[in-house]
Amino acid sequence: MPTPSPAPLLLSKITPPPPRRELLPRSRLLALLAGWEHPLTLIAAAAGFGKSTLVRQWLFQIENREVRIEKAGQATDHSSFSILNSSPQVAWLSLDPDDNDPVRFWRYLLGAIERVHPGLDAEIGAFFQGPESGLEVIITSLLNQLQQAGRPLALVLDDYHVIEQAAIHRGLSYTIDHLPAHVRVVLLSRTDPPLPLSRWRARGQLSELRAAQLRFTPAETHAFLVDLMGLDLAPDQTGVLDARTEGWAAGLQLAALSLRGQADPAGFITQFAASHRTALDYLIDEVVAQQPPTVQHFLLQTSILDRMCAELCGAVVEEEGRKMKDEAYTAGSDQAGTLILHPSSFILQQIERQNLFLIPLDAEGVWYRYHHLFRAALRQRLQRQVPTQIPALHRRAAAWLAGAGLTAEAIDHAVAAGDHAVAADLIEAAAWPALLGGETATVQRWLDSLPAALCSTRPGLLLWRAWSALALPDGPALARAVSEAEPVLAAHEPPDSPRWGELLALKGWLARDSGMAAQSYELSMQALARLAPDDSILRGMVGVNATLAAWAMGDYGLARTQAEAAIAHADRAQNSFLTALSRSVYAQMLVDEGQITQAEAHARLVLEAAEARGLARWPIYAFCHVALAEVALLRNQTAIARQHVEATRTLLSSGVFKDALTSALQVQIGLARANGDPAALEALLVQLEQTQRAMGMPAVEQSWHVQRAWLALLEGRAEQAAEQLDLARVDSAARMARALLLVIQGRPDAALKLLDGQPQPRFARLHGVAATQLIAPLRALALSAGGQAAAADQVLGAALSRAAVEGMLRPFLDLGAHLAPLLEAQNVKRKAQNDPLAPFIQQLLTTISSQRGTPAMTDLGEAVLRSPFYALRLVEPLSPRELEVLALLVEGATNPQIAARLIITERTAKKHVTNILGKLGVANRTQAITRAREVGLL
Amino acid sequence: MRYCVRIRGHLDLEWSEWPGGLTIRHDPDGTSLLHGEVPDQAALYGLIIRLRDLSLELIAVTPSTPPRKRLRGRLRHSRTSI
Repeated sequence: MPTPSPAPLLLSKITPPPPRRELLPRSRLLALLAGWEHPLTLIAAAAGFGKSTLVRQWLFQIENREVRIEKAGQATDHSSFSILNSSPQVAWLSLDPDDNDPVRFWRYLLGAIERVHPGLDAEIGAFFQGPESGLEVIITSLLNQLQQAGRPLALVLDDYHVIEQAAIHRGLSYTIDHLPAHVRVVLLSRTDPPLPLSRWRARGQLSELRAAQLRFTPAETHAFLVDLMGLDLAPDQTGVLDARTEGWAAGLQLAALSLRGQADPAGFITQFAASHRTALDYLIDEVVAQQPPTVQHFLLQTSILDRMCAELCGAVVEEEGRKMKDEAYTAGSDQAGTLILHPSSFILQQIERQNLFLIPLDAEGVWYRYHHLFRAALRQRLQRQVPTQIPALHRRAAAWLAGAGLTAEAIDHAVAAGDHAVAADLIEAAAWPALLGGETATVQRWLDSLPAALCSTRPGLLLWRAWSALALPDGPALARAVSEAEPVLAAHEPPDSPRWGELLALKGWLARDSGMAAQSYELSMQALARLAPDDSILRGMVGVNATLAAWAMGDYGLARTQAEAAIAHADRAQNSFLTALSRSVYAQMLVDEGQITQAEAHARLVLEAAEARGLARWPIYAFCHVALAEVALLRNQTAIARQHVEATRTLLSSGVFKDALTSALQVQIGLARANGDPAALEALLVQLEQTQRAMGMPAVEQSWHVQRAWLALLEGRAEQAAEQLDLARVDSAARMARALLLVIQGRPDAALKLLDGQPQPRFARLHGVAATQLIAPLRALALSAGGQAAAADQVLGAALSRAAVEGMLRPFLDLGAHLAPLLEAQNVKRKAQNDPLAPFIQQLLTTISSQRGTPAMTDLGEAVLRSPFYALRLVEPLSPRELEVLALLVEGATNPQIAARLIITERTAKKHVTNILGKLGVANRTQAITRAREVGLL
Repeated sequence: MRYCVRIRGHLDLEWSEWPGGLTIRHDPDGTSLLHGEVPDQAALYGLIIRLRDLSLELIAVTPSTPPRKRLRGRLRHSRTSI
């Protein structure tokens, strides 16, 4: 699959219909329209009341006024500049039922505005953006841009009654509430839309034109029929017509058309007035009956089309046309000959000239549609006369539309024709561009329009079901779709086909979600081997998954290669979402590696590019802010870290990307501790727990037990830390915490074994600090506690050199109370040697000592000073032998008993006990046992 | 559920696109009565929207069977048994 871009907009939907002058100017209504300055103008009336026509006249007026004023401005000076400015530009959107997809709706609305406001940032709907999450951002950004643009703008939404999606109503309602003063919305609808109309009415924010105003007055009816349509009618006759149609514009126009072909207009009027038939039925029959058979035939057959051009009409009525052609040849008719040359465009022109409710959709006269009412009436007649032909008409329309690349419309006709296999082919081709455009709801609607039995036999459709579930994202639906697709693929697709590549990619995604990194990586590799070489987007997606999987496996080299490949694919595909995703994953990897300067540069680059394109408010960029927050936290730049945490939370306010939110929460925990705010800490830990529980995420991802344990360790509550760690799943972060616990408990060898023997803790954070960056300081602690002073010094020295280059303070500060003696030793030694590292170490020590005086510690006061954590920092840990003695003390053993049990002299036993009392800073054995429990030695 | 929908004007009798089994009666007062079985409320609303889209004037919508059909059936049954 080559890299597609989102489906292009149908221009005819966002092109204002050509302004019309020839209709009777509705001066009284136009004056109202032009005079109103309310944010919302609602034109609500049944079909055929001339809503769109009125707005088209208004457009005509606006354009002509502009021309007039521009001419005047050239002639004189710029005195009329303000008037020129007050003429709004008009963005037009003709809605149809397919627009009941919020993303599609806003794509079209932005497209309509961009037509008159070039340069507007109209990118919307990234793949894998939560369905509504991105829209809030887009709407706010749109409002800001409109505010800045400052040009008067009228936003016309025609046929708003087709919109049923509550999400669209919500978005529009928000938009109208926050509209800049120079922008107004004009809604045309057959029903009152479910918007807060009464609130707006009460606040004077709403102006309305309704059926009562839209009805032609008797005078207008007369002017229309006589002056404009050139009918020779007396005022009482036009009065009868006005009464019979009740000033209904469509009725009057149909009446005028019927009267044109009448030999006896007076008789027609009398009959019409006496008839009880609905005006529409009566008049349409008249009007259609007056057309030549070819035109009648054309009208009925093309009534299945939502919009039409000559070629499409030709394709749809083709068969009959050919028959007519043959008949014409046998009859030797000249008139038919003209018809054959360009039959459809000829008939279209004819119909337009006659004002047969044919509405041009562009200025070039290529696309048209019938007036909805006229079309509905024609369709009724088609259904009545030749119901069996209808599927064939749809089939021909679908074929032509598909050939012309108008796939979305072709799908609807194929479904209407009952050609589900054809529709399925089309859907398979159109789904990817639609998904890329964020139109997940549209893809799901297409899939739902096919019989379930067909879907379950077509691998392509099943895969699209899965991709749209991934895009939503809906994990359970994805798992269901994948398991449904696999046997079907096995039956229909060769094992090395790109479709298998897609399925394997999806399975890889699912595997990583369940914590099976190695399997996920393997699946991604199998997917890449099968996907088309030029399928940049899918390759990029798989690359991101492979990066995350390789990283979770702890293979930096592999992860880096995959990340670079994913970034290259994202750049090639020019897909902003994929670029943001792949690069922020890479930035977080760099944080893990301790290369925070590079990580920062990387994340900043992505954000700056996003800013330049006006996309910086997309939720996906939260991942970049998380990386920057973590970098700032590592540097102990708390204010900057806080800014990025705030940015993350703002971007994620709609509730998407909970994993980024938990990362931000962790940084906040780190910040709260740096600030010494125990109340905030507790609140954040609770919030973290709630967030992770609500996510229903696999336990392996749930980090709150570990974060609590880590806090307990840093505050010297060893027992509580142990409790939390027992509850926590044994992951890499938990192992870091366990190592510190072991050091505190005086088991440095066990701690070292844990630190050396385990894979690197990828993506693990302890209070927002990359766990990888805690390994070296913890090893130094353990080595020192185990009596290997030289090794500890060397490990710590190397870690400090690396950290100094990056300006990374936080890992050492977090362990500050434990590390201070080691750091002091380093400091003394390096100062004496004039080592360039000395100032960095001095900075660490200064921060640590000032940290001790922060509220957190002083609040705890005496408790902290007496805490084993504090005490242990001052004394040497117990040796293994001393721990054995301690255990016997707990049993209540006397010195001679200890000596006997350990096979040592009584003097040695006594010396051990004295040392234990000294190290624990207590006076007697009872106190020693109590203290040992506090410290977590027991 | 059976419904009666009254609209202004005499609607063509042969329209076949009405949801299944609706009959149309032309009344002398110049109104039409659509009458028949409507599967559920969604179908009823769909019918009303179709009338709207044809710009027809809606006069009344009334159920022609009480909503609790089963109850009435039981009453009728008890009456015959007496």
